[in-house]
Amino acid sequence: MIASKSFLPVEVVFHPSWWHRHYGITFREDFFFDACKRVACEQAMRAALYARFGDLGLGERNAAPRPVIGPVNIAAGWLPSGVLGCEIRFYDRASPEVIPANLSDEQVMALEAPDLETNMLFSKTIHMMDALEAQYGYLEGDLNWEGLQNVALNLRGSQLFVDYYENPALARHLLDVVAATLKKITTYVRKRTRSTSIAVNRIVGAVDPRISLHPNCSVQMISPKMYHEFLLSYERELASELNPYGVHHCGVDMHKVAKEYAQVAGLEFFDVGWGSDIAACRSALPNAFFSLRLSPIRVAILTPEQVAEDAEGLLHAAGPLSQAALCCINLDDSTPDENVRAIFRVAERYRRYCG
Amino acid sequence: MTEQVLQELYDSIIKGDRKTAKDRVQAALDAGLAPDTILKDAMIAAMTKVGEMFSCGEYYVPEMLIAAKAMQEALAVLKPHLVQTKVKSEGKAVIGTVSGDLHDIGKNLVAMMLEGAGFEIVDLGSDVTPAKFVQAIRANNPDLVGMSALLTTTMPSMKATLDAIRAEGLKDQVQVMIGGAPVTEDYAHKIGADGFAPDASRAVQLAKSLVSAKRRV
Repeated sequence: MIASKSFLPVEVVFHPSWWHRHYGITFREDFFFDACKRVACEQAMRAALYARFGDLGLGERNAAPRPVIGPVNIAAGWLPSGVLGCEIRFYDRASPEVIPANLSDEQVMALEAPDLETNMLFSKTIHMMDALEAQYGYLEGDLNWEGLQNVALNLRGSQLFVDYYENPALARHLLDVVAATLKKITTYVRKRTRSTSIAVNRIVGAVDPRISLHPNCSVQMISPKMYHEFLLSYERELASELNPYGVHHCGVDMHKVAKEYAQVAGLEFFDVGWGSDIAACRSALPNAFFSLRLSPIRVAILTPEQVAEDAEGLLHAAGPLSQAALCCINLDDSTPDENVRAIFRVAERYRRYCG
Repeated sequence: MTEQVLQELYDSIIKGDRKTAKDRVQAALDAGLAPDTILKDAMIAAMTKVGEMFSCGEYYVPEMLIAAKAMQEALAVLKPHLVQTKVKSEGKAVIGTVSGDLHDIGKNLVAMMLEGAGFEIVDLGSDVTPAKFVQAIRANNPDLVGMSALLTTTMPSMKATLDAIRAEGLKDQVQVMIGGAPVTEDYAHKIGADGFAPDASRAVQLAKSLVSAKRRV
């Protein structure tokens, strides 16, 4: 069972538009690959969070430069798709975007898990890590590893869903290659920094940085039966190799697939999407740790009182609060500070009475 | 015999069996059935059922996608005959994923479902600028404009597009509906869209009601 470092931790992650508007940070290639800019930006982000929300426990007082290898203050999953050949588009005020490769049957069948040391994109990452390690003597942070079906969709497009019915052997080949690539990337990163998934959701850092959190964003698009048939075996493999293990299910319906998740040995942590039936999830997964996700859109447009109601609703349904956390990811530049504070106030109240 | 052919066509679309769907359309035509009967009684009925199955959680995106593809291929066989008999469409829709957003699975699904429901579709693709939407409205005179966004950061492009449509004096000519994972009903109200649909199935219902409201005016 996952034991959190603190009772009812809370995390928020702001969207690049928020960082750009308030602090002028841009998210071009150098933000991800230039060692000096990497360190300077992460330092500036921690300092900015402390200046704005230090009273909530965010950021770092007198933020010092630290060798953070990947962005842990935004949500940005793109590297594995890039490593496997998708074109990546970078923006000033948004996370990098993967251009779907829409690979043909022949291209899929010719695809192999790359050698990371010689892969053009990943070798740039390695080079950046080497430079940081040489300067600081250690590394921290990690890289968002995107998730199995998410990457497969980026490579094949929606044809993947047709393949599940009409060409399952091809779909399985693609999933094999993506799974092997994700294992290589996470194993490599974990070896050098000792974590894999703070960049998937910062809440991992607050609960237990050793957790590998597998992004299952697109699982909401398929039936539990299809998950069982095509993805469950990979989930089991990943869970056995990357323990402690968790799943990020940001879709609105984790309750539908919760019984499938219950069949994965070692799957102990869930990032539960807003809109999911939390009580049903808890019933299917009684001992798991739940990171309960608020909707960033609602947090942006509701009143602070309504945001507090959303947070309370999640906590009421969560079961034992020793096994729960709150988070909101991708808060954009229209989000009022007061709404962010409302989330933390609810958590503080629950900590006082239940902790 | 004719009822059996229509039933087989209906079943093949629901199952996403493209080959049988095409074959059964041809069989229905060969049996002398009117093209609009084939379209409405079997094909549109099947896609309506697919939409219902999606709404109640029996179907997911893959099932809807293969059904829509079967519908598209069957429709390609039927289309020349529909043109000849001048079957009236449910309406014309210009659809696209808004500027800055390359995600097209949801948009494609909505386009296919609308086509399956008898709409004429002008698909502008993804990363469509407000100017391109305006140009397409001028060129195609649609009843409806559908905008999709998957990213919270591209949602403002929906407002920018609506503003451009208003600025060009075209808003009275079209109903505007929006959708996509982060989009909400509240957001649709906020930017002045005529409607919001949370998924492709409900997009069809919304499109029908918006076009019908427009035609009543």
